[in-house]
Amino acid sequence: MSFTDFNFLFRFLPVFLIVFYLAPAKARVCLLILGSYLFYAAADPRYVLLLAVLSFLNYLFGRSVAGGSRAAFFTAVSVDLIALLAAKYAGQYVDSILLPVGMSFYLFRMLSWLCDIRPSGDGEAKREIRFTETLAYFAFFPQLLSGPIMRVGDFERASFRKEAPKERRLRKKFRDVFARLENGLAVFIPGLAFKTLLADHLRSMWEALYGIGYESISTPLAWLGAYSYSMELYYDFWGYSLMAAGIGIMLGAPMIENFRHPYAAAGVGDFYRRWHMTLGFFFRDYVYIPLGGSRKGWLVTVRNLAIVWLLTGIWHGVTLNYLLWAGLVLFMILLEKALADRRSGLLPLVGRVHVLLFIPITWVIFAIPDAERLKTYLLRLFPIVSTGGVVYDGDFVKYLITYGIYLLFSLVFLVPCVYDYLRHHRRNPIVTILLVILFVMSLVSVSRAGDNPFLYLQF
Amino acid sequence: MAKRDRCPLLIIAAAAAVVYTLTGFQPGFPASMVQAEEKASVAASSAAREKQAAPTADGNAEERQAKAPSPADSAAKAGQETGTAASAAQGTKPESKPAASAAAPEAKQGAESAAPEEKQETKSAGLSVADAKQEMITRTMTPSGYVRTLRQDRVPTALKSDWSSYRRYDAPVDASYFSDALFIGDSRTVGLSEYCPDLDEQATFYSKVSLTVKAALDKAFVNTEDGKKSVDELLSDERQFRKIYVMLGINEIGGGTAESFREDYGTMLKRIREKQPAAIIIIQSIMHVTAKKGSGDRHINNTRINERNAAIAELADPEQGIFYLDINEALDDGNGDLDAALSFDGVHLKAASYQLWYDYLRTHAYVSPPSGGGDA
Repeated sequence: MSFTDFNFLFRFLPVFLIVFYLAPAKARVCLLILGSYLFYAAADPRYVLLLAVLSFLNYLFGRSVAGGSRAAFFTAVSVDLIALLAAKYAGQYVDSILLPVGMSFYLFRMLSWLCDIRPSGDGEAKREIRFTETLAYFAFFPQLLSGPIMRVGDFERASFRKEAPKERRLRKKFRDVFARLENGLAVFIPGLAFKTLLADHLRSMWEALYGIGYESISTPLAWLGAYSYSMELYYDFWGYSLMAAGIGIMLGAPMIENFRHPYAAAGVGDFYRRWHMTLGFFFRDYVYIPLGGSRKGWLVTVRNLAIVWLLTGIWHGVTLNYLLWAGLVLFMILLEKALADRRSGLLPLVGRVHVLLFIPITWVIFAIPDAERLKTYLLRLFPIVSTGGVVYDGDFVKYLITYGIYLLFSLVFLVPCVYDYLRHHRRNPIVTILLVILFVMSLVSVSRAGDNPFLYLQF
Repeated sequence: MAKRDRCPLLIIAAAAAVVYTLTGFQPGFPASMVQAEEKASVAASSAAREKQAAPTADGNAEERQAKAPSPADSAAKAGQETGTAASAAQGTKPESKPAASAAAPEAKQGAESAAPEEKQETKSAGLSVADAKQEMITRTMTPSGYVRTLRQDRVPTALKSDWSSYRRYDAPVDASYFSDALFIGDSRTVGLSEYCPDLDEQATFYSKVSLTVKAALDKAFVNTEDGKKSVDELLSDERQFRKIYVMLGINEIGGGTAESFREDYGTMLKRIREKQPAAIIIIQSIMHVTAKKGSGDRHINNTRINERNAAIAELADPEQGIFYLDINEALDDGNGDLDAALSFDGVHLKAASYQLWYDYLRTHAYVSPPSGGGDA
């Protein structure tokens, strides 16, 4: 069940919200667990039990971890990592159904929880570990399938956790809830629009190139495809993250930011501090900094960065292209660091070239797991050797005409001030009207795209 | 209520939820169509006797978790609607292409040697032509004769209505055979025009992504100098084609029944015939999908495609110059599915595979002997 599924949008979510807010405050955490497991069961019924078992195991170990046990910490981390790696390899090399939906995300949430509940050395009071809250945090349904990876500290700020003061005035109580829902929608709707109006349309272009066969696309089309795929990936994931954040806000959780205009970054290092930020924080706080970060000389820094990017590559997938992708990103980051150390005047230029020219190429590598096809695509991007396919000369113009409008809006929303303006002025009536229009357009797009089983207008 | 307390988005979203609960958001899909659809799926399930039954796998193809930056819910829709976007349909070609002298190659091949093959092929296409008549005609048919016929018949006024003289000519014809041919079709035909330059140079293409039988003639999608025109308008123009190839059906495979599809298809053919009395019409079978694609799809699978193909094959009427050509013969693997090596997405041929389709058309051409069968 995805967020763009009408069954989620118009059945599950409203019903859940109504029940959630009508129920007494004390019952809300339990309702959240119930709702999350129902949601997961709708997405992947086979692995509900696995989620429950892993949650329970982590909770058990977590109690000892919070009490200061190193052994429990390392055992739990090992269990989680082995489970994740086993599922990834089985999913890749045996059968894709062996990789449970959302596993990379909920296991990373568990790992981050284990790290966060460890008592720090300075005699801080022990954290109280509550069973229901831990379960609710692990399975928090807005973030269950694809993140973002919310930290337990953020979860603790959620309103449903706090002992709600007895609100006598019913009217004020409802006013607060409505305001929360309204705020959530103001985040959710742009996300929905990015995903359904931009990403989903751009995806069909990428699929069309795949269908033609990479050996038969012209070099201009190959470049158009690289940029189009980059935009698809960005709006798909950013849109998804906004939807997840919006639903979280509706439930009373704080806003979790996962993207901050990555394509406005000054370099690749900066790019990845703005792209999938919760994953970046995870590796920064639990791997890079514990290893010494950048404070122990350049050799250790290079080693630490290499470890972080090796892990990032493996986390995304176990095929070679992810390692190649991670390696290229690492190389660009190191190059930028070297230039920065020398205070080179070239840095701003190199950084922008990296972001605007090389990042799209890295996404092509990211997108094509098959080595032979990847080679073919790269040879179409850089046609030093002919790949021998029959090429339709008009293909670039054809796809530019067909998908130009989506690409254009993709570029418009790359400019940070556009989205920031809308976000900042979300109470402005004109912006509200715009959001309503986007909402309706998104629904129309989804209903035409394939959720409607009677419509197959794509060939 | 203070201004900041207003919740317009919430009101709209709640209204949408109510509307969805009440109507299911299918204003464009009236109950009749839904019912037809349900009937169709019943028919499909009872059609298990279909010899090339594609395995009907679990209908609820689970969304698999996408690789990280592309979230899980991204995998949802296998294909996106590209229907609204105008596809590069081929514009009308300049009139009067030279009917090349070598229209039918392999001139060495005599009529006698071609005769036995004729019989076989006629049978396999499911055409019912009296054998006696056929022998009489094949004797007079020569490749050079074909050229003469072509030239002579290009004058629209000299229309022949006796289609019984047309026979399948099994030696590969030259590209110029298609100089007076029109192709009507969906994205697969678009692909043929794009990745088969030899054919594209000769033939005219009125093809568009997502085209359906119902929309084929009336939707204004062909780019001409005078703006977009419908196929119906263009067929009414003075240009007479001599061969009209049609491949449609995959886009409406999710709706209606095989019977309603045949009815719509028949209506379309009738209208084409009225506008283009001089053309033979070749119904091309709906191209199969790969086994992998078909196994995961309730609608788009080869059981259904075969059902529809059987329905439109019945529309073939050689006496009326309407033929049925099973192009899947050229593209199937051994099991009656589209050969997975020919397609990346399971539905469309990859660019390099279109040549097979073209070769099949070249070796399955229909020609008329010079003097015309009826007069002989």
